[in-house]
Amino acid sequence: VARLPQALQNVPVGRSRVSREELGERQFERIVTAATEVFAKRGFQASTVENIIDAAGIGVGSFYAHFDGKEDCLDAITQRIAAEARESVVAGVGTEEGWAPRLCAGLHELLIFAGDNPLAARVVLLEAQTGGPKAVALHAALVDEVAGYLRSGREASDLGRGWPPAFEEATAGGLVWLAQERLLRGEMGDIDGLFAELAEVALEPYLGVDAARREIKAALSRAGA
Amino acid sequence: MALAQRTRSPGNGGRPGTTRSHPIPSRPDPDPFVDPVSVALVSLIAERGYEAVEVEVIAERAGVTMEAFHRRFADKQAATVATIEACLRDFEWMVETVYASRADWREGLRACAWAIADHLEEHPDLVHVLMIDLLEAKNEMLRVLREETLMYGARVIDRARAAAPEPEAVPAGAAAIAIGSIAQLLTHRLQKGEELAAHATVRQMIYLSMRPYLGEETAREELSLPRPEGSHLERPAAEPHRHPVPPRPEPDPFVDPVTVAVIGLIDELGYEAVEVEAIAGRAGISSEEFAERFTDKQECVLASVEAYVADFEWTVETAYASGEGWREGLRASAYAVADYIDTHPTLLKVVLVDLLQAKNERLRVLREESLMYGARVIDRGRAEAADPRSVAPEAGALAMGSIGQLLTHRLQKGEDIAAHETAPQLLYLAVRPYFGDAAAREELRMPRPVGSYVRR
Repeated sequence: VARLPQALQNVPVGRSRVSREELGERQFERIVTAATEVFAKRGFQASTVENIIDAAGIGVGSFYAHFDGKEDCLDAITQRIAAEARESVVAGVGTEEGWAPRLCAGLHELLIFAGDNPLAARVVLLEAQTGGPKAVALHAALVDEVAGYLRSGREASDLGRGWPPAFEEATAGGLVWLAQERLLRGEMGDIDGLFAELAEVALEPYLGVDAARREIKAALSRAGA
Repeated sequence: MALAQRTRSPGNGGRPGTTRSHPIPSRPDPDPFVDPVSVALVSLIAERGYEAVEVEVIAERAGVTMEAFHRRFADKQAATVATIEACLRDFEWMVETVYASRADWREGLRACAWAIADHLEEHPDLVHVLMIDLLEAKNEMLRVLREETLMYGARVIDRARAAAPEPEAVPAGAAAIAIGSIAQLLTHRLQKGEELAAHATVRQMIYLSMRPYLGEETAREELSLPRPEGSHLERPAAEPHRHPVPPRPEPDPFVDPVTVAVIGLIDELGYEAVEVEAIAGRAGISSEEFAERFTDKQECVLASVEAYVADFEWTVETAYASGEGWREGLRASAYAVADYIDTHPTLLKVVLVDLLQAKNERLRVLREESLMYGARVIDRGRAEAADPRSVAPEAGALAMGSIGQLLTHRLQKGEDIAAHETAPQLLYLAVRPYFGDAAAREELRMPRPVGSYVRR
């Protein structure tokens, strides 16, 4: 007897073959996807739980089964997006060696991630800073992480000797500000152009103008290949 | 980006029926109607539209070299923003000068309307640029600039609220609707290629503006009143100072009980949770007194923050004026700002953190504009840079964006701002794009300038 494809075979009704956990996970995903869009398009402060449940097509109870409120939801979303972005960066950096090539590879990958996920980028870069304490702390931690990596560039360069301690903190803030501006202006389309602009801000103090541009050119050609 | 001084509401301390508490801003320098770059820019945009105008053509028509152009402006956008802002500052100077010469609000507005009609007839290219070309520009910043220009007009009209027989009965958007109608009328006439006929319609504009506040019968009187004597403003030569110190806001926001109450309450509760009753209660005024001064909470908070920003700009410019050249001026300003931050930590937190978290878009824009004022002060370095063309177009904005992010993060993390300790580090960041690394490093060792001690 020919076997039916699995999708058409009899399955027990009533008790779903989808476990409660799996259902919960699917619902969680729907909420996260909907909330990301709501926060990105309306702005976190102007968004309500009602906006999210309308967009997700779920009930109020289902929302509160997963989150304590919209702040909690934003926290979960920013953490997840940050983790996914970090994974992309790690994969992009791969086996690159040296402070500047690793920075370039990571930054380029990060911008590709932002270009592929513009709503997610907006939530983490813009909305997290206007959210509750946890989202704000996560945003600040990401900026600190960038500043930390930049600071390690002082070991790779003589130019960085004697710089003020707040230099990298401010430079990281400047990179975030530039990215925010481009997002607000809807100019995230030209990934390579934006990469060159941001990478120059990050590299030039440590390497000088000419060396920084060489690194950027090389990074773009590696990325193209 | 829009100027803080442009969006400032000069009427935050208004009293019923008087014109005395609206300080007259200083005139822009250079005068945009004399400055060859501004004159060339406005005429070219009016002829060809913003997108079609190129820097080379502006420089050629202005009769300046490309280097001279770039010494002042990073690019076309920067030149356009600076020109429009200068024109608006001149416009505010004209309006406030005429307004202050009159005994009450109604006479003030009538005289202003006639002076504005003169202005529109004398500068048709500028009207075209403001009404049509900025609207059609793909550039969001320029569209915001147009909107902010109109909103200044709305705030002048809304001074009538304090004089209205029943201020609470006046719709919140009365002034915005009046200015919107006037703008639409001008835009349509220009789009159809018709004459503006500003003098022929000025009485109708006055009637439209006054009607929501004074009622139909009283406003109708305006349709037959003659032009007030002395409402044509003769323009003196521009003031000689390059960066004039703006007047301090009146009343002093650190003394006015309303502005003090607003900042304290937002700090404690956040913008959304603050209510009009709480502001009035803490300020020790009745709700009627509140309604005489402000339409609602938003207007009150906007006017309060604008008054603080005006005070801040007075502080920065006073310190800046003490220096010889940009580097000394900027250094004095940085330390004066450090004093300001140490003396008013709550104000800094409210502007940088609480406004960021407000639902209200206008408050967030106000925060951004305050930062962009800093960016423009930093970008004055372009005029003295060894090679202005090598300075990135956004150098000032990037330096200020970095500083703003750094301060915001420290506040959000509950860390000490350490303003005086950080001042030379921030000066390093600001000087570097214009004078290079070696000059910027000097800032780390420079002593605090005497001129940075601003006496209030």
